[in-house]
Amino acid sequence: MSKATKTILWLVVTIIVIGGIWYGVSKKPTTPTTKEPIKIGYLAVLSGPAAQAWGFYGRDAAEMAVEEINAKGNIKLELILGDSAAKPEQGVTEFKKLNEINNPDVLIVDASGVGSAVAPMADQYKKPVIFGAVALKGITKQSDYLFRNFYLCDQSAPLLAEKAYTKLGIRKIAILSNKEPYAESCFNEFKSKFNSLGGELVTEEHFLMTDSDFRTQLAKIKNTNAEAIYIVGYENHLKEIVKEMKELKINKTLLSEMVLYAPVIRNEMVDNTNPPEVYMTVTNYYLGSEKANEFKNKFKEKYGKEPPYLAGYIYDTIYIIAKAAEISKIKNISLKEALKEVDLNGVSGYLKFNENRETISAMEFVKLNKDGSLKIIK
Amino acid sequence: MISAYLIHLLILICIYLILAISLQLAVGFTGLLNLGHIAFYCIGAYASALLALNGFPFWFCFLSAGILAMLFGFLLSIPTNKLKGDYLALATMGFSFVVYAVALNWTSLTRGPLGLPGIPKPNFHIPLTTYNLQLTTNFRFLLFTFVIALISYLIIKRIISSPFGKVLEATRDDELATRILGKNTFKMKSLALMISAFFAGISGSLYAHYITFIDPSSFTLLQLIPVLAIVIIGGMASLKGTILATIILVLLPEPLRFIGFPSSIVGPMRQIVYALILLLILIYKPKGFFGKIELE
Repeated sequence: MSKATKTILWLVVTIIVIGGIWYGVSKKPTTPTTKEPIKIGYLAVLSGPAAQAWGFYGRDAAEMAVEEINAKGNIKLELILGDSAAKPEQGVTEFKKLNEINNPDVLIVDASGVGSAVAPMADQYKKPVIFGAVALKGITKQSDYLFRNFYLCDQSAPLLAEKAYTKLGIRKIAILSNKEPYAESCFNEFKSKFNSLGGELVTEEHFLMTDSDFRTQLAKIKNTNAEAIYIVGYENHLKEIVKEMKELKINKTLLSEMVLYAPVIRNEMVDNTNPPEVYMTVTNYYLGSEKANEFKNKFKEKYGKEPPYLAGYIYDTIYIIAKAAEISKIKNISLKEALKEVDLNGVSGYLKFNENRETISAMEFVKLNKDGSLKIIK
Repeated sequence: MISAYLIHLLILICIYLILAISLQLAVGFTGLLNLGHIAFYCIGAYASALLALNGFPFWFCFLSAGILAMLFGFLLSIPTNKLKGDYLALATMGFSFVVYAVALNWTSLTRGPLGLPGIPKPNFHIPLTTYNLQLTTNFRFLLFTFVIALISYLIIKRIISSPFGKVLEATRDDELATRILGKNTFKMKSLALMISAFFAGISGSLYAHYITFIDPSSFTLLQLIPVLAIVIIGGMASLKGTILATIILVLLPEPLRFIGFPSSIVGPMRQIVYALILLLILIYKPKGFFGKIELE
């Protein structure tokens, strides 16, 4: 085959690929009517390290919620999944594709980096966007179309710092945190509050998303005079940290966000002959609420694993959307306005969007008992 | 009316094209296996973003991105001058790790993992007029990016067809012989790395002002893999191959988004299919589409 022929062939292939995409995107989206299902575009994290840590749980919870709501028959929902891999560029591509091709009525976006990248586009597409696993402060202020249903680091971390200082009398602390947006937010809030109370940050150590060995950082912390360690990261990190703390015989008091109470880590902490004291801030999800327990049992039955709190938030978000769809139909208002009127007793507690369109979950300061249960410290 | 999704893809093609042809200049035409290219992209993006967020005009941010990246290109060329092949690759890879670590940990400057949100879209003042050209719509940004990509391509094409370009290729093929003929190969390699870094820097600036948010996760070594794949699949020392490969590799994942994979495997499945297609291309065309030399 001559060079020219090969060039022409490849050009033809390229034109066909571009043409195919053009055809796909130029199909006019159907105008939604009241008979059609409410389309939810869920920009989840379905690949990369974050997918294993929490992304898949969000997807599973969303699918379970949609199934339950559709089975009841009042409102029909359709879930359309997209994968951002927690990367801003891929998130933007997928966000545009969801809006242009699938034309959802509402979107859910996970991952702080992706949230920051897509937030400026909310006004362009004029569809409500609800941030799931997004921890960044003030992200909803950019547009009236932005909502968030997730716990806030600037609520939980300062509470933890304050209780550690006032209730536990801790004055010197070491911090071990992941270098990624969620952990960095919590780290900044905790450090700021603890310092403002007069506490001393003895040392701060960090690790990367892909790290799986923390002995170097833990050994450094062990040799300091810190009375407690504040650790923040994902499940897979915290599990290894707790294991290595046992190995290195580090008995300093442990402070963390509620991700530490995930079942795989909880078992590791309980199975320790000389465990350190462990304190966390948690929402209703881990405080034995009936709704939360019912959700956890259903999830475990369906997927064979206990869901972490993030799954509870996504599950609640789907129910919030369903309730908003009902309000929108009854009052003949837009879905965006209806979302502002929703209040829900969800698995994460009582949820209602405030003036910044964020839900605020009630949080408690708790201690982990030897048997794995939690005790509220007032 | 061209869909915003298609415009987005075309913008990405233009940005990746500039990044890829600049890497082609270093790898394909000069024989410098530079695995630190993504670091120049990162430096350009952060420089442009930080200047823009502090109120500097876009044209200044854009050019500064290229110039700062070029400066780092020069600094990198000094310690790596005597290195070749795998050793050069390792050294430049180390440089990309250093730049990533700085972006991640110098939180007072870069905000670390929280990234830099709210990077403004380009806004030019046209000289000798009172008119401001605002690239606030994606279509205008596409036109601008296309013009920059075209200019970049023409400049690099001019460089490689010039006597300087011939010396670069001679250095790639046999550095010792080139030196014996009286050419200062260190200077040639430095200049090639600097020019390559300049264009990587300006593509970083375009990326930052388009996505309007950057964080260190967009500039890890893993992000170099698609760019290196474009250079290899397009064919070493071939600019037209690079153009074709950029179009194909940027567009390749898109049809996969429309395939209805089950939700339990959608993310990993797309990555597997993408990787398989790349492998097939390399099996069928081991030198790439228009490759003139082997990657050694």
